[in-house]
Amino acid sequence: MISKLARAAVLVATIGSVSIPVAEAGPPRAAQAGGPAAVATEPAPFARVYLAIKGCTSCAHCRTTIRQMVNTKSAGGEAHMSADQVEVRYPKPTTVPLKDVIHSLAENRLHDLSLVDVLFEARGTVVPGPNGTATFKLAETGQAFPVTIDKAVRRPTDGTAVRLTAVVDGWRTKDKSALSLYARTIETN
Amino acid sequence: MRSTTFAAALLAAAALTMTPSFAAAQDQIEDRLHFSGYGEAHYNSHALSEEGIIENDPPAEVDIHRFVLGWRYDFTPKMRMDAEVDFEHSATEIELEYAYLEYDLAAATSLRAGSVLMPVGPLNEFHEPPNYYSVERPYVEASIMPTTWQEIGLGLVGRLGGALGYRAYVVSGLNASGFDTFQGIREGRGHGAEAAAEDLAGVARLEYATRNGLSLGGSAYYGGADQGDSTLGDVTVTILNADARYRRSGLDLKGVVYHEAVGDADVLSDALGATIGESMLGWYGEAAYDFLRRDREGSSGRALFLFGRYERFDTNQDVPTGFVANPAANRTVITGGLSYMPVEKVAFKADLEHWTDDTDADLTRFNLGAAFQF
Repeated sequence: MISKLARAAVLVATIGSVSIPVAEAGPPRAAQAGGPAAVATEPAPFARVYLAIKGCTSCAHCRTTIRQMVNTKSAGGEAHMSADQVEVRYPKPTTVPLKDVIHSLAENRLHDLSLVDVLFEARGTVVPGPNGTATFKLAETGQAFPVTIDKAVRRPTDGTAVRLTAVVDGWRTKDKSALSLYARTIETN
Repeated sequence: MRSTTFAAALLAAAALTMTPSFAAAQDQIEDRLHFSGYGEAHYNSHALSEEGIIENDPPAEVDIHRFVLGWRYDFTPKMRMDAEVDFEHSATEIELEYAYLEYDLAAATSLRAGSVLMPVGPLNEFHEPPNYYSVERPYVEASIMPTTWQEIGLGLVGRLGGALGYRAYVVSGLNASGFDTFQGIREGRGHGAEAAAEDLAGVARLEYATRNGLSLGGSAYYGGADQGDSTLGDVTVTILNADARYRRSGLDLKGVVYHEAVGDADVLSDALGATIGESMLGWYGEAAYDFLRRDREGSSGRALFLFGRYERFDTNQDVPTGFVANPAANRTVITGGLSYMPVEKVAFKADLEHWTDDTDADLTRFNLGAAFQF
């Protein structure tokens, strides 16, 4: 668990450093999206996938290639690129092909590009399971992922609509069929 | 390949396809505007001549060879502008490296319109100095393939499956009035600066990459180059290129070949008073090894490459009947040296070059360089 949290911290720091404007440093973009610090004029999309990447994004051709690789697998998600992350936005409720989006970069054939970490953010509910387990169900779609919620993260009551931000795990293993989430923040509406 | 309706077609295609989406109009400016850049400083123990030929005991030289600033602005998630301005030789020469609009027609297909880098060979589009190990670019990719080469045009950029990428453009043609015995087609580039567009050209590149580190590329260019000047003849230029690269376990092996054919080279040579090659050939092979193995999981990101390169190029490989090939145009350069990268996009380089040509002239020079990219 410690390593998971450490990875989450690294990812959040990465995303934060990319998105924070020099003139108005503040919370990382993931926190801004749906939390108290959200910009009033920019409603958070239904779901977002943040893909932290390492390698060549400096030249226009690599950026176009990366964008096209993600777009091909995102099923309508909008890919936004910055220096070291790709953010895939889903404005309206839809099934998010999380595994395909991740694999579009995790198994890319560019020599100088590697996927470092993945953060997932979406609207839904947390459903408690047996033995302390839980499932995160995306709103209106029925799509569900197993989610681990640390004691430090405030757990909502059953059925409460929330916005979950979680580190995605399971995509590095050879058996890539089972993705799971590690909650970083759970915010109620 | 001529067209008087080129500009109209370009604008019409752009207007038809670039239906803007305002879905992302609420983004902040800092999310839409991005900066990039690169630069390199050189020390050469002996300066090369403008023509890229061997001269007797040329003096040493230092130069901020390139300082490039780039901007990207995302109008919508599907439409963006990308541009770079190159301040060469300590900003005494300023050039628009490229500037184009790009619109995503489909998930893996984008339209580009504007000043685009020619997709010929592995270096022209990926010319940032940390991408090559030597202080100077390979000379084949100066005298045969005239990097950095951009023209104004319109075309498609895309991917077919996960492994195959392509670019295909229609662009303004070269201007043969600038062709030269030693630099070949180099000074025929239009640079997108009030460039002649009586003649057009088609250019395309395919790239295939495997999962084990092998990448293969092939490019083709064909176009007119007399730009309506009948005194030059009916000049055409055909360029074919093939390249292969294998990178694995710290090893980097690369082979590149370019062949160019100039049509009506006899009339052109008469008109210019210089021997323009009917065919030009350039190739090189390069091997490098990273002793710090940056590719390893958990490495610090540092790299120390030892490299060697052998290149041959001849801008007078075949010359028109009645003309004599200039032996100084057939050159061989052997380069070896080190490139140390303390972080991924910063390189400190040192190398030694040995030049020879068919006149038996030779030159050995030492180069130092510092380069960055962000």
